[in-house]
Amino acid sequence: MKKHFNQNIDYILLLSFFIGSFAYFFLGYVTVRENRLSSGENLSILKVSPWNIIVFFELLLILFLSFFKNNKIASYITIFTGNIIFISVLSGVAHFSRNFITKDSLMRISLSGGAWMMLLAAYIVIFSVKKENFLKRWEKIIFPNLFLIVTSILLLNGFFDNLSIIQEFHIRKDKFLYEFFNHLSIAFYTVLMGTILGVSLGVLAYKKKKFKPAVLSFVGFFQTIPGLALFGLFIAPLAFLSYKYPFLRNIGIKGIGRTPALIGLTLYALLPMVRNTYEGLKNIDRSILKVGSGMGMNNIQIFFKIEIPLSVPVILSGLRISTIQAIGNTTLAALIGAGGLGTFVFQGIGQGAPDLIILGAIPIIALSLGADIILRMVKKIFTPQALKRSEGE
Amino acid sequence: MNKKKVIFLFIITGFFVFIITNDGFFNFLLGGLFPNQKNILYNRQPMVALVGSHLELVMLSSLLAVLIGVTIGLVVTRKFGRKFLPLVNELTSFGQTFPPVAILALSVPILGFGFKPTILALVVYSILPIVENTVSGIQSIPDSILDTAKGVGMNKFQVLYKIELPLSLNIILGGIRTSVIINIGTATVGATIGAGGLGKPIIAGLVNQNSSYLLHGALVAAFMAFIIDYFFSLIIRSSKKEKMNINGG
Repeated sequence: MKKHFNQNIDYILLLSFFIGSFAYFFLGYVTVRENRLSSGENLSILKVSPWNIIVFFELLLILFLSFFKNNKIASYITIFTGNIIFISVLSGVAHFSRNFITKDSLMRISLSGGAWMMLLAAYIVIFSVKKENFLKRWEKIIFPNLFLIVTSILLLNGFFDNLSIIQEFHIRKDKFLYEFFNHLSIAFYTVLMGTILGVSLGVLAYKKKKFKPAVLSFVGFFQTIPGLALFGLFIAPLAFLSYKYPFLRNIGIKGIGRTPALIGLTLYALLPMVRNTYEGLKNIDRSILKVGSGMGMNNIQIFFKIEIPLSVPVILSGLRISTIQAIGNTTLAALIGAGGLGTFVFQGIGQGAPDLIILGAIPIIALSLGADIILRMVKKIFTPQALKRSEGE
Repeated sequence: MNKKKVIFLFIITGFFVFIITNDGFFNFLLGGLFPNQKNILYNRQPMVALVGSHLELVMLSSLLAVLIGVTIGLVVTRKFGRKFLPLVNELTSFGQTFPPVAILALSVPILGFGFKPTILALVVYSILPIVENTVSGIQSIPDSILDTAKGVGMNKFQVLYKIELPLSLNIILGGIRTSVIINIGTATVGATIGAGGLGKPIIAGLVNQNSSYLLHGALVAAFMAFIIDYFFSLIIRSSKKEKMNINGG
């Protein structure tokens, strides 16, 4: 009897209840600052009425729901509760800030540790049911992301405008958009060059066995060097070159700025591309290649019609890894004058303005997560039907 | 263990210690490259101290990450912890999409500037590959081996210490290697939030447009990362061999 009871407890949901309760009772919920640079005071959620009561009942609901594992209706309620917790935490802070901040005040309000932890709890709640088998395909896509849709609508309607991070955004809207696309463009060119070079080197290592150790240790070496040091190694030689040959300066090659950033980032992006291209080609079943040549294909046909299509899924997961890395490492490019979202991160660090740091860091994280999702889908699309079947998907 | 490679490791480590304790080498090299530069070597702090504080950051955070990460990995592969395995898998792959530098930056609003927030950010990020590899290492052990171990009368702890940990050691070490290398890189950026370490001369070189400082810091940081990575490649290779010996005889 007891065993049967235990199987119905959803321990993951129970965990999120404990995380949420800890944040609710013991941690600060909003940070209030005199101005954007002063050190803040953390207020507990209990002072941010009336939303604290709503969140409290949502937590109780989670505790209740965690005793109904494998129950279809309870799972639907759970997934909606997760979304509602997410929205009500943000709305609570926004509501508080709307009452608190008058038009000309320098006061700043931002989310504090407790609110972030509550958002983590909401994420775990959503996760606990997101993969249940009874959810239909569209439900699996829509329901876990409802909070994103609602939050975006509220954001666009100016509901969060009194939060400090949004205020930081409005001060430098144009610069933000410029650096956002700059970040994307640096990452894009990095991945483009990394892919062209990386796939070529991977094919070289596969076709000409004697180059393999040299190629693999060459690209592996760059990945071990700290990113900032790698940029540093290129700045001096490039500065020297552009000083010696002025025509290089005219086409934009300088010691600091975009050129060393692109070179360094591209060298970083090589390892996942080379390794995955090589592994993808190497792991193709030898007998398939024999069938190809038996059908009268020549080497070029075998390469383009068999080897490349069959290794594309592995190459694409290399592309995903190097894209995510490139988006993250482009942050450092701001330190050598190439711009990008890192500009705000390091400006915020320099000024001691926490909300400016967050303004830079959140889009970087969002871009990485977006790239991850998109490239996973691309990989699924480009995986040949035959491979999908043999993997049992 | 390959003797030649161990000797090579000792030689390059010796050379590394020589160039960080003795300014002569870099004075000669950088002085030759930048004859017009007034200050050739970063002089706020001796290089040894910078390497020391960098190693302190990396070793402390990696040690904590190994303790926490391996524990989490072991708990979720036990019978009582298995219900948390899907969540842990999800969080480790979700977390690794976050750029380490972003985590470093986000630790500032929460904890402020200096040594401690850097350590925390490094630990948080470097737990992830260790947990991931511990889980996949333990799961890669065939059930037949575990059944045999139970069959000869081993209890749970003996299975863990004599079978599971030794057999998954290589994969776990691979995770530790990944996280140590990431830590060395992220700790360099830690200089911007006042954590010290080898990022200091690099940042100073960038701010003052002093290519000599920049190259000095960058070369030492790159060299150090190379040595540590090489060290890991040696111990991973050697434990692979030992494992094969166990299997063979």
